[in-house]
Amino acid sequence: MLASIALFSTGLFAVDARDIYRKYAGKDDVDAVFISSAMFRLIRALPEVKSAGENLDFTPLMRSLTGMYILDSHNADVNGNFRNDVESFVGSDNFELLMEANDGGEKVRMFTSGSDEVIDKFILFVTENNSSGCTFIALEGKMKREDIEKVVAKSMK
Amino acid sequence: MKNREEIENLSFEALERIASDESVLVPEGLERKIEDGITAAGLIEPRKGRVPLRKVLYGSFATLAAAAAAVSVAYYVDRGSQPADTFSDPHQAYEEIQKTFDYISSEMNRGTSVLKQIK
Repeated sequence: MLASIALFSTGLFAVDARDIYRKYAGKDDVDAVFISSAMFRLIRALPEVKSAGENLDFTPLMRSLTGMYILDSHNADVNGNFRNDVESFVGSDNFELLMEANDGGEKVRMFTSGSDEVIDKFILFVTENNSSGCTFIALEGKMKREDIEKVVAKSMK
Repeated sequence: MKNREEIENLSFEALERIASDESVLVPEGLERKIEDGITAAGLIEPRKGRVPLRKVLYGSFATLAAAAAAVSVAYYVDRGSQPADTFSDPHQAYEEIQKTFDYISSEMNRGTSVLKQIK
């Protein structure tokens, strides 16, 4: 009985992007941006977005987004815990590594979560090797995997 | 062996003399048997610490269930609230999204450029 309640409580308090954002957004030297699903609906109604149409690479993605979290930290005191929390978040079975690159003292990793057709989370995590900086970007929505793949393919040209 | 009438007619001093007579062995557990009998009759309170097992288990389950319910309510109340939007103007939010996607594309490009070098 006690074991089942402990397991239940652990599941309840699993970390997600919103928890990470709320934990670090108010810290010194941490830039934070959150865009909600309500704001995305307003953005999609903007004339310049409507008229741009498919000319923008990310228009199909933006149509399907429901949330965006950005944390850019230059606080060495929090970067250790910040990194651990993100590692724990993306280390779950739900995420698969899309891309990883070490370049110029920075480690760049991208993760996705979802099914074969639809991605519900896209994570970009950039860490500097000397722990002086960490950047965490989380996109949530119902993104078609082919739209993400088009953006990746275009970057390879 | 005295009968009930004879016992009732004994004086207090006689009863004391019989009680102090250590040659008469008291059967083991007699005191508890007497107390249990009186308890069963509802005449005295049960011994402290002798709470029925069923009541203990019921109390524990009720406490745990209440604690689990409180944890669940706290969790769902907390999860329901989301952070405040950084921008109140959708134009500013859109500019930020554009910058973000440019950044994501540049990082993807950085990763794929390493791949091109290998090729």
